[in-house]
Amino acid sequence: MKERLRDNIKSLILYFERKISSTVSTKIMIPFFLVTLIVIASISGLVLAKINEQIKDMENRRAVSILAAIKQRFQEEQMVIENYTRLLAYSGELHEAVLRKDQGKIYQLLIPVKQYSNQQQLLVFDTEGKLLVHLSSVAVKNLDEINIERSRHGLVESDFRVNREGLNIYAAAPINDDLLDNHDIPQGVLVISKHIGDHELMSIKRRENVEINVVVDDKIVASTLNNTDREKFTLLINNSRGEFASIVLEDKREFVNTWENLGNNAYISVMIPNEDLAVLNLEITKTIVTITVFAAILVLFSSIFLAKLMVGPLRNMVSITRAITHGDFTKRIEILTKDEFGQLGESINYMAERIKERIDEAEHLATIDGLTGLYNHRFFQQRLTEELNRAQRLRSPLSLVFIDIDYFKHYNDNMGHPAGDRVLQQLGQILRTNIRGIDIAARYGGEEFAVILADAAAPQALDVSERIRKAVEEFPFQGKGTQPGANVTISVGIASYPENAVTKDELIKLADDALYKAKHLSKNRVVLYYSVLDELKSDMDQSENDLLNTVKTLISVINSRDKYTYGHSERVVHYATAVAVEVGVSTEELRVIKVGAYLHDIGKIEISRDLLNKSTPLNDEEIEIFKQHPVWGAEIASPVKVLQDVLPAILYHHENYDGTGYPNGLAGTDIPLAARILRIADSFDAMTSIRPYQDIKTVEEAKKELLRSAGGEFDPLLVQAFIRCLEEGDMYGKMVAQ
Amino acid sequence: MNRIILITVLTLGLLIYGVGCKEGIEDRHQPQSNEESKVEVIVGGDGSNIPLIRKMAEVYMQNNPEVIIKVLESVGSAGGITNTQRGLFDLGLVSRPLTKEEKNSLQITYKPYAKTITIFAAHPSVGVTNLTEEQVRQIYSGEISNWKEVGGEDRPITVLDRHEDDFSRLVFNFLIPGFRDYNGGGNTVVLATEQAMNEGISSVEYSIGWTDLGAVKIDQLKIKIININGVVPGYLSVKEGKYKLVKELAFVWRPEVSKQALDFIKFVDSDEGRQLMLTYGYIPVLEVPGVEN
Repeated sequence: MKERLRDNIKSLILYFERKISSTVSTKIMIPFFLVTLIVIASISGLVLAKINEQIKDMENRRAVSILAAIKQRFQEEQMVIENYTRLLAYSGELHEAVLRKDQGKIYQLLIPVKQYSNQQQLLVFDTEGKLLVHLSSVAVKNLDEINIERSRHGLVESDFRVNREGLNIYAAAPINDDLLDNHDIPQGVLVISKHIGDHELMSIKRRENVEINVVVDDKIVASTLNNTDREKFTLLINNSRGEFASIVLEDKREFVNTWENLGNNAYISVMIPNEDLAVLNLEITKTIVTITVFAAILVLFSSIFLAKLMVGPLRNMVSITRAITHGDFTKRIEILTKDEFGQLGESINYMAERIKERIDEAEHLATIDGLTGLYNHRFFQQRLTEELNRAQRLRSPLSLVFIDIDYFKHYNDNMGHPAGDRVLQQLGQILRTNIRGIDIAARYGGEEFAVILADAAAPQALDVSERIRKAVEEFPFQGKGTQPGANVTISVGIASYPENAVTKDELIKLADDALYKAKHLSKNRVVLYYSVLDELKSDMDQSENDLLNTVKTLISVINSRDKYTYGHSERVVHYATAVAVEVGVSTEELRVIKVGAYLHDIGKIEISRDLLNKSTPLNDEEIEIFKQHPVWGAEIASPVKVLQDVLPAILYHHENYDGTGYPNGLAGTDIPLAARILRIADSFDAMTSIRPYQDIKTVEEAKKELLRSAGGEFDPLLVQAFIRCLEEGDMYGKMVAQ
Repeated sequence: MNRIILITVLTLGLLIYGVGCKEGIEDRHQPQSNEESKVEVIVGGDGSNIPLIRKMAEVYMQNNPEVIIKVLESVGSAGGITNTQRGLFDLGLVSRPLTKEEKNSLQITYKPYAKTITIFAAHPSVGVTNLTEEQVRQIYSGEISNWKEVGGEDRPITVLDRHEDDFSRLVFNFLIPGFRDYNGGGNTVVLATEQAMNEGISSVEYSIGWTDLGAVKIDQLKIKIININGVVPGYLSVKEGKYKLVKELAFVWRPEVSKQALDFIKFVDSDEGRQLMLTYGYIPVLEVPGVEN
């Protein structure tokens, strides 16, 4: 039963919740308002009812007192008439006139009496009780009711009678000549009688403003009412035996009715208008209703205020909880009270704190490389973007350092991966100890690391990198003796913003290029990014610089298309420069050689990617296409003014010393020096690099090949110089020295 | 903040409203006017004037609440003149012309304002409605003492009479042949005032007396008006000269009369006053100059 009731209430609440969407404050406010309103209204109603009752009571008391006053008036009137009759009867003249039975004289005496006293009937009887004189303004009625027997024997008598004609007051006194000596038998009896009819009642009505009715045997015998109201009154008498309390008359006035029994089945009713009391009642009612209405308004406002007061903290909590839900953990609920709201607020605050800690932890984990404790690749990318933006904003430099462990595959193979992981961890430790707090060291992938050096230009970056390289060189890694060079070393590439690149991708690529260079030329080395084309910059105006940048882009395109020749141009520049220095050329010539070396394969942009990367031997047609690339390269570079000197180097870098080359089959010194040097450098790099159509040769094998072809494909003098350079070893060092 | 202001205003409004209500109730019990600033005009004299002048005073006081016209009980024309001369009355009421002696010795103004028709009347119990002048004379001289002798019930006639100086009686003496010679029949009841006469005719069975037509109408007396020689007493019969029993009603006053008293006379003489006279069976003096005598 109880369960069902609860279910019903629940479904009712759900129904209302669906129908009306309301806030908690409304839910508090409305019942509070309704309950208080009902209480106020009930009190007002009770007060009104009580006042109404009191007023009714007052009306009744007033009616009763007026009725009593009227009855008393009749009694007083009776006394007055009795005294008047007594005085008049003890008159010598009247006595004499009665004695003589002189009607004229009696009339003469009594007519003025009647005129001044305004009595209705004056009667004079003789000793035998026979009517002697009768003065009456109304028809003579019910004379038998008047008892003169006692008066005939000398007594004064008066009475107040009710009969079917209405109320009657009469007094009878013996007619005597001596007021003092009343022992004689009187000569007659004087009777003064007053009938209380409509007329008399009307005079009372005028004075007291009440309606008076005399009822005998349920019939009105005298009344102040008009005929219609009399009918109404009679109807009420018959229906209620006279017990009714109020009546509304024809003119809409309401009267309160009061009764008094007069005996002989006769009643006198006094009806008093309750106008004054009704007006008073109306005014009190109006005041109470007004107060109730004002109280209701006050209650409404106070209930709204109360609801706001109660729900305010709750609403605050809701908004803050919502903010927390949306990831804003800066907001906290202000705890003002120690009640349930305060406790709830504290709990929410505590919860938010815990959540924030967890999220921070998770975020931290998401940015960290588990093995090394350095930042991971994702975070590095994110931070590089941010740091570049910041550097751009502050116009400060930034350097990106790429680090790779030399022969790490070899180490892993020898020592096992756990040892390799330890090396990675130890390297991470070395990196951390050698950089500043603002720098960001990350594991880029595998054995490759990256460091963002904020606010550091290339020289500072070089310092830091050298320090790290040395630290690694000197670190006692486990089993370092098994490594080539009997040491665990790192190669480092550096690219700087804005010197080398301004975009993130370019910066990464250049740093990677620099690392590759360091790796390829000789390990355990720090290489700053360097482009031979950058040297041209000083000689070029802006438009040419743009063009040069285009050429640079073209080269990077070629490199990306031909993955085997990645870094080929750079290396050719390196070799060619070394040879040129060895044979001794002018500065101008050296520039031409460097740039020519850099751009010599630019014509390959016209050759399809498939052809470039083809691993099977090429057919004749394909060889013919391939042989066109020096010509196309010269054509591509020809619009650039500063490259005019370089064009022959590009055009002829495939001419052979013995005249068997292409495109023009030049021979000997007809071939420009730059072209001849490029021919050797190009071929050497091709031999020592992985190419799709041939096996890789060692430097020694390549040297032999160069010597064998000296005087054939290559200028023998230049071959000698090249070999000298190789044997001296540090080709890269020479290049940097330039 | 706004809410607090609103609540304050509402509360104040409630208080003011409450006070207003209280005042409203108290207002109802304040007295309305002051009786002491009223001016009294005392009027008295012959009873023939009294019903009409009372009616006039009633109407006049409704229009002039600052004046109280007090009309006293009848003291007769002589009483009216004497008391006015003494200064007891502001205005005296008379129903006869001043005597030569009065005109010469007294400094009073006489102003007639209406004619009243004098009638013979009987108690409602009497069945007779018409008498000849001769029959009237015979009744008053006692030659006829029972109503059956003039065609009525077999009941003795109670004759109501006035003193000899009553002006009506003087009129009858003058107009009814032989009337002056009667000296009170056996059953004659002599009454002092016109009001007592009216009471007598109303109260005493089988009685006859005389009174004014105007008094009958104004006081709504329940009496039987007797036609004389078959002529119905009234404005028309008087105007046509068929009914001759007419008295002149007049004011008298001293030179020191108050302006309120004169204003009342003015009202009686006004169109409204004359209209009232006609309504109650009196004949305005100015309207009917031809009926004098």
